[in-house]
Amino acid sequence: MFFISLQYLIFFVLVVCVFFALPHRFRWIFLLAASYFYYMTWDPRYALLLVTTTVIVYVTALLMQNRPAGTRKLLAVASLVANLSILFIFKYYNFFSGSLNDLFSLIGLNYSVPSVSLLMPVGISFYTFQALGYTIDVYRGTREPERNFGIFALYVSFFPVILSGPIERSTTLLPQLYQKTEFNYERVTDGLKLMAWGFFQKLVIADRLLEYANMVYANSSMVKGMPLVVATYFYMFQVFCDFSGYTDIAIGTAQVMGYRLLPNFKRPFFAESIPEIWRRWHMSLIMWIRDYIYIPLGGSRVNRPRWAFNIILVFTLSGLWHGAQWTFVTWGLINGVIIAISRMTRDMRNWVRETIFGGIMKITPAAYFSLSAACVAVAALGGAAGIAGIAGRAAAGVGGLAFLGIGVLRTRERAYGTFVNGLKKFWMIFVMFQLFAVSAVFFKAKSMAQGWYILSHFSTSNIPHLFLVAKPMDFIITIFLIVFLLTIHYIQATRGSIRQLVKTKPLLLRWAIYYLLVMSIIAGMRQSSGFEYFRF
Amino acid sequence: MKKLLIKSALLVLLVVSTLIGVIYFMPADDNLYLAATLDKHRLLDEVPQPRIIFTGDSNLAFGLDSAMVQRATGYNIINMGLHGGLGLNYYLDELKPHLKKGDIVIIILDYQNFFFDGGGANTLVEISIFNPKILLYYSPKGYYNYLISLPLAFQRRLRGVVSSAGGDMAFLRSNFNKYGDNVGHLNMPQPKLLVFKRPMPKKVNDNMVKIYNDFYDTWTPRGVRVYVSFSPLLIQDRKEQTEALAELYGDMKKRLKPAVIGEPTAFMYPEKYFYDNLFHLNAGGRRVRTADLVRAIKKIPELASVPSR
Repeated sequence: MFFISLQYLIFFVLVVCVFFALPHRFRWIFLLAASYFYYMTWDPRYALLLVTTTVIVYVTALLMQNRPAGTRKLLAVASLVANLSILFIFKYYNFFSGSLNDLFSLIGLNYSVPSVSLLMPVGISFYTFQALGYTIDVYRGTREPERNFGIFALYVSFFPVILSGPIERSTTLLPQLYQKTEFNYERVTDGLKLMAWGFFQKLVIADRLLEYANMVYANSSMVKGMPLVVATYFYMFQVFCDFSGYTDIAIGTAQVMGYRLLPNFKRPFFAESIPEIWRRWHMSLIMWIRDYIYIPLGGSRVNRPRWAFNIILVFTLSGLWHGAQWTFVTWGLINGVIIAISRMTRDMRNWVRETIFGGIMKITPAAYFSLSAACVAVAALGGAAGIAGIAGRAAAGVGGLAFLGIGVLRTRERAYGTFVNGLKKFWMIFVMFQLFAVSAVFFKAKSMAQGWYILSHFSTSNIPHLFLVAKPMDFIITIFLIVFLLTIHYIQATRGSIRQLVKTKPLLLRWAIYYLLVMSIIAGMRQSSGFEYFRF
Repeated sequence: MKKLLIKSALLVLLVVSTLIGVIYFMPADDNLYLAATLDKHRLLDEVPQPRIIFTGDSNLAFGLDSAMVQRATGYNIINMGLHGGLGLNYYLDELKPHLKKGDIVIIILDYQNFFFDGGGANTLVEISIFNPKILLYYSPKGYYNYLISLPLAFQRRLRGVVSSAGGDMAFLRSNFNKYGDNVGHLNMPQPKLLVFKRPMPKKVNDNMVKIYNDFYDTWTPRGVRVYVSFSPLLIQDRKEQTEALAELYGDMKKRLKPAVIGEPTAFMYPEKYFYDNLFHLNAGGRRVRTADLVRAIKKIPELASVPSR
């Protein structure tokens, strides 16, 4: 049962109605049953693994209480090994056996590691990490072991998060499962609005972007240049809208019932560096990795080479977490390497940037006016002088106007300062975006060979082929949707929550906005093929 | 809670009114292809027994010469074939109010159907624009698919897809003859044939099997005889196709309760017999296919000719 199905809407309405109709003491039992029912709609057999993980983690945590440090450590390791083994067998075994076989054949060894035919349970990476986090919390003494098995089982299987997160923490979600929540109109409607925005992101934006990206990537060997670049850009926005849409539906669902889940995204496309984007993208996973892997490895308290190694290691592991394929590992590795390099070159890059933009700050108005005049001269006389063709003259004309405008701006110190700062920010976001795009190629590619092919064919222009797989109007709508998304993010960044903003508007306008949101979902939704992150 | 329920109900009402308004009240040309459903339903009411009702997708609309079958068997023929987007569920649902004891139903679906669950898609909504009464006869699965198809139907109506006839003269209600065959394409110049390598199913989707068998179980005790047969298939990789068809045929014989008429390999044809796509036959193809179908029907004693009273 996908979040974006009619079944889920019916399930959601029923669950919420029954939830609020029940006395508080019975709610967790009902939510547990609903969560297992929801999970089992995918395949009832999946529940066996979920129960196994739940029992192992619950029992080992209970046994840890009041035991000597050595025993606690042993129990924690046992729980980790057991759960990671389950994850390994169901998700990674075939990847490793296949890779070993490739290696053996490469070195001429005639030995074959057998593969297994197992069904990978949906959401296994998410609930396993959530359960492991609890084990580590109890081991560290951050929290007491949970005594109520049912509540703990609900923590592991809570239906809004079980399939694709956010990866919750025992210290935040578990206590909430005990708290009594009343029906609160503001909170419930806020949750519903968040869900509606999630549906919009997923059904209207993500699924539309995916059509183009899929079409180009499926035929990547036949295209080169711009279609590959644009498909990769579209895919970055697609993955964001897909996962952020899912997360908003999950958070909204939980919020309706009075539970607060961790945020997963914070306008990542406004990040000014790769390290920053990773503080804004899939935040619950990154925080999990930070707290349970990166910091125990020494965090930033170790020497620089060790730190760089740690960063590359955790990002490579994060890639592996996403999927049992070398493409995902490469994606994680690229991000780790970029972060390590970016930290090591931070001072130098800052110096270069400040020098360039500091230099731009010092350009005089006269210089801009001269540039403008030169451009206008090329535009007016370039044809006769044989310097530029029609396109070149048009570009020179536009350039002349732009320099004239900047020259005028330059006469007003403060406005010019804001402009140059904006330019600097834009440049940093632009560079971040390109670097992230390089790694995204491997996130989307089916194989390493395809990833390399796409990267190595990025550089040709080939603009006419942009419309081979999409009608110009569809292309324009897609671009419009991306701009719309970024505008929403910009408003959120500068003026705060859109939902709060809308609340301050007159009733008629509010209703018009809600109505338009629902109608635009219906009018703009595409045939959906499910969520990207479900395969992880 | 009450406040939320009232406001939600109001919003739902607004949204549903918009959907219904756009889908059902925007003008739609009466001569559109799908509007032929009205004539086909009239045939179900008016054509006397003994009769054979062919039901299925557009392979029947474009590729069956009912007059030839009528001449060969003596049965009155009704060709209900219309559109592949309606699904097996619909083809059988729409017969429900019209079936009479003694009727013979022959279901012929394109092979593509066997991959899916027989539920149908947006066409379920679009056909109800012309024949809203049909909504009364949808099965629960039909209603479910109708509901989830509303957004796409809404989008198509906004884009004017179901508004005016005349885009392609082969697809008009007025092209259907007195049996329900589409004859508009027979004298039209051969368009470029859209060919793609089609995957072949080796078994029938489990849900489809259930729909076939439920229909059989419901209507056979009421004196309706139910059969299945095969749609035309473009020869692409004959060996591969023959192997797949052999498996599919075995599966159908094993799991479907309705008797199977003919063998699928008897309905494989070269490109020259196809009209605009892999599902539609041209005049020559229609003739050959119908002749093959008649041969297969003749091998079933109770269908070979009208039994004497």
